[in-house]
Amino acid sequence: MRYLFVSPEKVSQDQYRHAPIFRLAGVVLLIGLVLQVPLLFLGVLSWKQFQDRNAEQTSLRIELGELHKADIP
Amino acid sequence: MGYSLIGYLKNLPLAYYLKGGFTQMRGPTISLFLSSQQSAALVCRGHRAQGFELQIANLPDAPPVIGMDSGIAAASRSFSQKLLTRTRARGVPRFIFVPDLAASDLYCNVHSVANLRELSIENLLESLNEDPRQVFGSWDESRKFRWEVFDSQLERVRGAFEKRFQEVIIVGIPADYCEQLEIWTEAQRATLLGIIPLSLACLKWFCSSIPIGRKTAFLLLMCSHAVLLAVVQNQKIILFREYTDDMAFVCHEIPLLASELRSDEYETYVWASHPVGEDIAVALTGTELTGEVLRQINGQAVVVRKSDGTKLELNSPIPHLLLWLENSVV
Repeated sequence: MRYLFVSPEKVSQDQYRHAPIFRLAGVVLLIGLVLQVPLLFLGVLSWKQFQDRNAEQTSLRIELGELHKADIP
Repeated sequence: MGYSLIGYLKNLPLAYYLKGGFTQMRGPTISLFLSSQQSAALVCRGHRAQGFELQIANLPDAPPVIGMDSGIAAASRSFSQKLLTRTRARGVPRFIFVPDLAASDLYCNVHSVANLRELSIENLLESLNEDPRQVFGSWDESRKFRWEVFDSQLERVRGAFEKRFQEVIIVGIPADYCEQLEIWTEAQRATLLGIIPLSLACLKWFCSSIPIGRKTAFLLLMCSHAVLLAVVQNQKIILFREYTDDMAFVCHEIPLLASELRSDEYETYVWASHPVGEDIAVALTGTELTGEVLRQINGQAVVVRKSDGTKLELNSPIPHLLLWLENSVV
């Protein structure tokens, strides 16, 4: 007699909320989502480091070019 | 019911999970008997009754009762919060509705499988949802109904008929009323466990609680709007009729039906949602399912605690039915 005359949408909604298997799936999904935060942070950090290093290399290259120019008799 | 990962992801109840839904324990069950004449609520936890309230339809924010205007002012606390506070229960409630439906709001009949054109329950439900006239021939109801198909022991069935059943019971109730109850439950932030018409609940309780052996049992259900007569043989429902005539006429019908069914030995049982008046009681012949009889059938009385801590024993039909229903649904 469970879920008698209850619409299938309501039944699935209730199952998604309360059934142990869906709760477990929800936990796994949320843990997965939470784990994305440090990964995202590390990604941003490495990209920033790469950008800094790139800028540094460019400035060194310019400096080297200028030194070369100054060295020419 | 088919579930899929995509369906789950589409309908992921993230807000519910983030609000602590993961750790939420099962809340109390509130079984509601809803009739235009009387209403009652039984609050249960762990299959035990915790509180019983009468005339709950008069409370603010009460659930809709078919045939009654629900123009009640909004309350500061929800209906379920109030009810749970009164019975000192906590948690997200789960509702079971037991509406007492009028003849026009309930279709319940035993059908012989041989007379049905459909070959499976799924086809039958599809035809009923499309147009009930495809199954019954005559159907003048303009409202949409929700349908369920049961076997003679009131178990929900699925799949092909083949030779599994000789008879099926088709039950239908108005879809708009079901939607009203769903919306109301959603507004209460609760769970809906089922909408079980009173006659169906009584018949199921009767078939599973009263061993009738080889005898034929005639069960008279005295509801608010009509008298229903069910014939039970070998714990199976073989006939179901609805009468709007007086009780004397219905009592006169029983011996005639018994002779038609060639039942020499038969018993008559009477289940009434309200106390039977003296004028009707005179015409009745059979066992009235109330008081001590119910206590013996169910093994014990329905015991609830009053607000002062004293225990109260209930032996009227409604609390017994609601408790049995809670135990069998949850």
